[in-house]
Amino acid sequence: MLRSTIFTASRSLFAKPSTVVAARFYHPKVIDHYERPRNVGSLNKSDPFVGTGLVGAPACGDVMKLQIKVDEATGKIVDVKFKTFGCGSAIASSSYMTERVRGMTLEDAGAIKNTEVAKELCLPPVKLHCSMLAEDAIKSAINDYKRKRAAATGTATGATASASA
Amino acid sequence: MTVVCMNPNCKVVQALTPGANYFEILGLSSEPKFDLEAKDLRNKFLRIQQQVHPDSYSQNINGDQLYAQQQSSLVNKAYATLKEPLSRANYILELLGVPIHETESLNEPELLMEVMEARELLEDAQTEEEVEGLKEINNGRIQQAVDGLSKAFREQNLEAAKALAIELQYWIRIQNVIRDWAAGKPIVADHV
Repeated sequence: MLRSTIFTASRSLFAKPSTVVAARFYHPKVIDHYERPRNVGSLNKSDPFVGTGLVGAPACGDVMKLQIKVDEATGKIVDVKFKTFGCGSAIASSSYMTERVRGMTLEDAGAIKNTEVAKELCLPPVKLHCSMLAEDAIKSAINDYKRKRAAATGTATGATASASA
Repeated sequence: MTVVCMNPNCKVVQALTPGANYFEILGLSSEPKFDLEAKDLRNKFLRIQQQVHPDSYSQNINGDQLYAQQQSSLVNKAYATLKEPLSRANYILELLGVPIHETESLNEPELLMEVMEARELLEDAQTEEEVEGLKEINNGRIQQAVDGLSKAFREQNLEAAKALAIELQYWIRIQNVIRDWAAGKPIVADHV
């Protein structure tokens, strides 16, 4: 009897801190993006004005796809979608990135650093690589778009832009 | 190096040997080897674990119990690592100086495309039968990667082994999602 009481007591004692720890594991900003991810989905990959970035984190097996639609006249990103299979931080990082780059020029979008993403989402050091993945994804999408345009127009300007990226 | 004194009259648990690798700890040759006999490994593990189980040293003569606890925990870790092909491959790569770093980014469009498609099919799956079909395909991928790893390690082609270990990491993640799959339950984040 006493034994079972102690057991129940110790179990309830353990139950509480563990839920606190679980709730604390992610910063509220990460949880917000994770629960209401922005711009989830896909754009038409074969659209000539859509650039697709596909990157992975080999250590954990995450995969992230980020797509941008660019208005050729203004050179600005007019639409952006992402799809990430990974942890909460990877999802939040890519979700944040899509919000951040909408309306930006390719140059500005390509200059966003992972440290900005990590700072905004308050990622702990062990999750920094998730923000790096988001940076790699936008860069990869921009490169893909430039490659496509260069191939379509066949101009030297396009080729230079792609080579310098 | 053994975890317990070899003298049959002594059998005292030894202090941890610094630098001993998991192969040695489980009584194998210290030479890292990918091809292991699962049954043999398990038997070795059970035998050693029996020798060092902390409960056998509850009287705590000469601090034996502390050593037993340390050895027992290390033996568990060694077995858990060497038992699974993925963690075994990663561990060997680490020992041989070509580990997969957290900060590495993968730029293998073909592999990533296949992973993305596999994940999307799994996300869209509605029935057990569909998932069962995807599981079979994925098991085939796992088998192929493990066979490839075995060959790459035998040929000491570490670059190929690393690429295959990364590939296997992706298939194992999909396997875990399949294992946790339940109809109507959305798959969002699948690890922490």
